Amino acid sequence: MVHTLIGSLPEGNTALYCFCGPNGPGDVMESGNKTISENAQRELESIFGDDLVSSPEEMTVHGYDAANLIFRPDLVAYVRDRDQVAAALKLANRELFPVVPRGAGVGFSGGALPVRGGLVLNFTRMNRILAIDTENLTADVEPGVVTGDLHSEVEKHDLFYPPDPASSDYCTIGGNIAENAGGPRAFKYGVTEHFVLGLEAITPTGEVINAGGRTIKNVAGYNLLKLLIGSEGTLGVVTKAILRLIPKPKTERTTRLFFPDNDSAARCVAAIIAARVVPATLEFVDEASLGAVRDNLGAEIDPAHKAMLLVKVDGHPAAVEDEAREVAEIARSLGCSEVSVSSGPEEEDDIWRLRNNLSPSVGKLANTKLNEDVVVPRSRIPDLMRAAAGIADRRRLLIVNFGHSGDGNIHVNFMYDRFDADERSRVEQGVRELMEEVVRLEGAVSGEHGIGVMKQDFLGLQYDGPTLEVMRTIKRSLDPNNILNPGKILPEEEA
Amino acid sequence: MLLPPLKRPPDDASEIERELYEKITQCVRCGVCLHTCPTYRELIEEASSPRGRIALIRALYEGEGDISPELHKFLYGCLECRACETACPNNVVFHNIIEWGKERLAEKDLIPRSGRYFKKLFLRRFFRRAKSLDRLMAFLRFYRWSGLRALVRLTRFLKLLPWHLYDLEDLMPRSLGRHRPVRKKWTYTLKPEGEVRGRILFFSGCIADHWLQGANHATVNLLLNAGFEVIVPASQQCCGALHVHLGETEIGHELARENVDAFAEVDPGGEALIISNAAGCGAVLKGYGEMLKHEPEYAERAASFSARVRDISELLASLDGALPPLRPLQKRVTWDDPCHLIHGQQIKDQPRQLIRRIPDVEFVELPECDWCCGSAGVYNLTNYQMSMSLLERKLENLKQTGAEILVTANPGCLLQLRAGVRYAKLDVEVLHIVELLNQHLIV
Repeated sequence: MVHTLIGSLPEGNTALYCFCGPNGPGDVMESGNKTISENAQRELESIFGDDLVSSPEEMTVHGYDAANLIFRPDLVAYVRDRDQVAAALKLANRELFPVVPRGAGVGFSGGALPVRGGLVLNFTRMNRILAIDTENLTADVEPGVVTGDLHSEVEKHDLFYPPDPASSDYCTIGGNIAENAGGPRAFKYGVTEHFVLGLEAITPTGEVINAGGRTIKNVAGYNLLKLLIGSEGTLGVVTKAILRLIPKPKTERTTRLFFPDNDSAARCVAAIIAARVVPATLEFVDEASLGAVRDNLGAEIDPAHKAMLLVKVDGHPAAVEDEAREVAEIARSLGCSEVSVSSGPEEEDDIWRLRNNLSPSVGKLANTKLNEDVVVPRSRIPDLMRAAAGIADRRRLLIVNFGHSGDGNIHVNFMYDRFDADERSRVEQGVRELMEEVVRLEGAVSGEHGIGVMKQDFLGLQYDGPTLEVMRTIKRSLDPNNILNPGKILPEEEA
Repeated sequence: MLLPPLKRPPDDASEIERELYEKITQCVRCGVCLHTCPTYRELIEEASSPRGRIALIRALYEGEGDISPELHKFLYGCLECRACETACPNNVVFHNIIEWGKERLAEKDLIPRSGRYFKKLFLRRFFRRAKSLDRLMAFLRFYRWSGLRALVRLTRFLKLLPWHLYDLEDLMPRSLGRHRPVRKKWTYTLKPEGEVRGRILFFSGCIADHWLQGANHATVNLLLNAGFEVIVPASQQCCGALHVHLGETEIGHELARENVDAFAEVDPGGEALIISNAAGCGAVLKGYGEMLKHEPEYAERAASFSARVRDISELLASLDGALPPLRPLQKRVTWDDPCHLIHGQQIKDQPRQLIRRIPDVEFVELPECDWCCGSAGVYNLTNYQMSMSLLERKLENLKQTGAEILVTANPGCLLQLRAGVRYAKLDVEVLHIVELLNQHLIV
């Protein structure tokens, strides 16, 4: 069967090998090999009723996520409740077909792609906020709740759910939990795992389990929560989450800092942290990205400005005042060429406009953007930036960097032409060099997008054989038939 | 892992198809469009989202996968509000893609029969020739005032017909226009009092020129008061928006050519600005250049035509001090962005500035003001249910503002919102922005 190609490929250029048959992307799943028998399909119909769909159109639109690869599933079910999930997984183990959970399908690592066909479970309609407990500061939600909807709902009660991936407006909590999503606020508040108290989940063999609970302190038994969170839908399917909320910060204030070069901006990040200021977000925009924004927005930015930091502090008004002043002083001492501080919500929007214009502006630089969400310890950011510049130089590539520098998570974007075979291979080499450098700097090959299918080649750089073997053992023992989201994270899991 | 190389279009693809393929593959499926798409949000259905529709059209283009009758539902379910274009970080020109997809479906005969009749009757007849539309409108006036309507309502005859005609008929405005369309009325150049600051060619629209004559009169009056000479080219036709939105691209192009000619007749030098007060028309008129760029005879003139098109708000807001002062209005006013103004023409601030110029006005923002009201050209005829859900949503938001006047700037939106306010029995006046401004001119 064609699907099994993935995961058992020779070393090296797997991408070209897998996806670039004579017909290019999308032909991998066009073999017509159905993984679900007619018998199994009938049983699925009895489980899901009209929510089981099979039209070619539905298969097309469940064949992609934001990783921009295409693998069409055989069937799609819009999930309504947990018992359906359990029943479907039990059936899948009996009939041996893959099951892939999916939220909004906006991940960058291909986590929601049915790379071996099978059944996609679409959770976007299982989207109720079940309860907001203002006494214990928790929220009970179904996995299809859109993260941004949760934000606005809890903020009505003056509460706060900090994780804020850039896709908050449309991604789902279920997807956030599967990928352990971060976001700009991670530096001060942490990532998704720090705000999940309990999960109801279905194991790959179809058993309903409960991990964690409702309390902040909970050391009863193994920590299954941490095992499930970030497992990219390979160890369990979340059907309900109990989330931790905190009081909403009273005020926030953003300071925009321009620097004459990348290096002084990178050093400023380290200095702010060394001074014990903890901004809610600390966004870094490098020279090439800033140049792209300048080209896109016109002459708003002085050409002498080569790098930008956006530092948002939040909390009690008096503390916010103090911290904003301290940030400005540090920046000036490091050669910052312009400081502006917001004084209200409108100015706040104005300051963030530049940052929000970043993606569209950078997108114009080339027809393809490969976004590597690497992360290093904060103090190593200047090293990472120098390494990226070195790679760009040696390999004659365009690399632009921006991201959440407060937590060391810099998005290194390779901008290239997908039609140009030579440039493609240089990008491939450049990415590998970057990953090696990140590991050398004691960082991680993925900060928030996950491994999925996109980064399988690099997991082995970060972890040694025995560590990977423990991961494989966990997967095998929970999912003996390799039913749940097969072909993800671990490169040779069945080899 | 790298992304796979892009597929290239087939060797025998035409220039237009090649360009289209580039536009299709510009979509990287990041999903930013999802939450801005009214149909995705209402249905929570990937195939009814912008990136989903693009993926479906890409499969259609590449000839991959089978086609089921559902394809029609997903593609023609699109409002073409273009909110996704505003949101798209990759500048995907969505409306070109969806229009191509709809056209292919029409070609392949994958449209239900009722849709085919609708197209034949309306697009190829009434909206094809301004004169045919004049006759239809005359009939509707007769229908309304003769008592025939009362009879039809009494017998519930319309309930027997498809497309919710019974409910749709109720969407018709109270006044069907007592005057002649301005296109027929003012066949001469209108002169302002005093100094002339320029010349304007007014695009009067098709439906609007019959059913929303107040807006057209107000537009002309404002232009005269701002010191412009106004010409209403007599041989202008429908802008073609309805046609291109429903996959009748060829007729759209014919209308574009005829309009370019009609405006050249009265302004051979091609110098005067062309003003539209209908957001939907304006967006299409601004696109004539792109539409006709492969036709040597028209390319240059169409580009010049499009470059001179302005929405009335765009023009008025840019005139500093040219408008006479306005009388104060002590009311709470809100603004609903027509999709083809905010998303189609990226005009957002100008109407708000103009409303705020009226002294004493309490301007409040309408929640989800950049969401489609469900009118979307003839969408309320073709997709009645979705249209009404969106209208309900709009009215809920309107209630929250407590506004006494709702201002907008597109004929379709005006008809839809006026009907909505009537159904919901809200005490809100729905006005075109030019009507509001014109009412408060101190002359």
